Amino acid sequence: MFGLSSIMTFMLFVFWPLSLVAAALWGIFAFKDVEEDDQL
Amino acid sequence: MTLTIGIIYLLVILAIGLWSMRRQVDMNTFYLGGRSFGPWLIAFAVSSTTMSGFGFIGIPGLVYENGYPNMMIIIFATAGIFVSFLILAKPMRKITQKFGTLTIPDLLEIRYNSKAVRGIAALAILGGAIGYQMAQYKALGNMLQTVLGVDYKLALIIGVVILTFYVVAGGMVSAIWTDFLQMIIMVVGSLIVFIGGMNLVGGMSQLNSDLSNINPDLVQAYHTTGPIGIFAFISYFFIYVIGHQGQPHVVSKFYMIKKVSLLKWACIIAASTYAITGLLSFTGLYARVLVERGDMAVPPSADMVAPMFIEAYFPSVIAGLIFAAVMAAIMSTSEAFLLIASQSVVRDIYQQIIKKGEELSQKKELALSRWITFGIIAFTFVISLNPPDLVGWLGNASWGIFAASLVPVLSIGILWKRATRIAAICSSFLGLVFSVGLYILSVNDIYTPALDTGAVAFIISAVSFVGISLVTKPETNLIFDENTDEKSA
Repeated sequence: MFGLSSIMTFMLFVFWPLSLVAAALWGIFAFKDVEEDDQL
Repeated sequence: MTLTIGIIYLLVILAIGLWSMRRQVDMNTFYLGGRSFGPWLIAFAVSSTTMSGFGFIGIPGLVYENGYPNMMIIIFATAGIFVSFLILAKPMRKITQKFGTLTIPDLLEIRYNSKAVRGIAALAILGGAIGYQMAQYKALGNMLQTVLGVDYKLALIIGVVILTFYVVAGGMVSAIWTDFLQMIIMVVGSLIVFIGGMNLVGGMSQLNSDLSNINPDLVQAYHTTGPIGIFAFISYFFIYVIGHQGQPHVVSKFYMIKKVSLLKWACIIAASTYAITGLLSFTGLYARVLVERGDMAVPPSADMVAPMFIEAYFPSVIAGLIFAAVMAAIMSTSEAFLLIASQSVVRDIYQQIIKKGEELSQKKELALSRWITFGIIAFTFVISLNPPDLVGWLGNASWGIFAASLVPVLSIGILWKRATRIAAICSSFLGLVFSVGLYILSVNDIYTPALDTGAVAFIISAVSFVGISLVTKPETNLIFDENTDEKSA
């Protein structure tokens, strides 16, 4: 895509954005039961 | 105009230093800002400290020479930020609340009940921090030389004087607020250059088509015949995805957030702002194509690629803004390393090992912290005037030194109860010795492993950590005891 090799296309357009998605999901799921943490 | 913007930026930094100075009370406020920061400040601090002068100047230079394979550093480091939050952020913040830890070696001593692990970690941090700082000072001198139009040594003096003032006076409070300002400038500047440059070269497809005509390896994820081959790709994964957790100047920021729950926003903010600033690495590709077309002069060195490109193609207001952003990147990483190096001397080596944990008065703590910070600046500055080659190379290897010495004992140890003290001592020691030793052998052309020296050292350290833990006697530890009473913060 865009003249890049297939691996580079994957790294730039899939892996990189997925890292950001993972960061967002971590924020949502890791703190679901967060009330007791705030008691620290 | 470039000069004006540069000077305005430096004055703002000084003002922040002055404001922060009044908030200094003791070692806790100097090194951790009193654990009072919200998610935006912490997130921006994590991303701006990860994006250093190397990221803004060095990587575009490497990308200019080697193409997309060197951009993998940015892509992997983004993932590394996520992994660090995933594994370390919550446990570290809870541990600092429970045990009052100020530094990474603090945490390691509590985890393994061992001053030896503290000592080795403190030495690794001190050595890597001073080495990396020297690379930052050189970049600072080069940038200010361009912006202010003075010679290198004077530029270095001016930069270091300003750095000294805002770090020694304001400590971590100053550092976090300047990081915040710096990241805003860096994000805006990077977007302008990325979009403007892409228009200039005629879009993504045109850019990659031109690169491919110069050398097909430039549009690969790793070279088939060039120097950044598959082993470099694998090494980058270890050093930047996994190794990010060992970067003490970054992960220590997890101690500083106001409360644990605020970390949830900090991760996505940090990762996305870092990724945006990482787009600046495209300047290396733009410059390569423009030089090939004859539209841009050949840069005399790799370090000059980004500054030359920006100066040639963007109005001076934008150039001034970008240069301020680059100075920001260099200074934010420099002060992060400075504080971490100073901490390792004052807190880890002097107070905890030499003075055996004796409580110092607040006034004495603060004074000592400031004096040692000043001393490290002076020492690093003197060497930076005429840096010996070997020490400069060590600066470049510091990511690997931190990854090998600290990641297994910190990241695995914080989650795995079965890890033992002996394993931690051996692992961190081997990590330190191999990362420094292999690097020295490599730069002197005595022996160069296929994988990057830091990656090799990390693998040795991690394998020995797990292996020795499994064959030594299991231990209990306070960190995993739910009933341990917390100290006040």
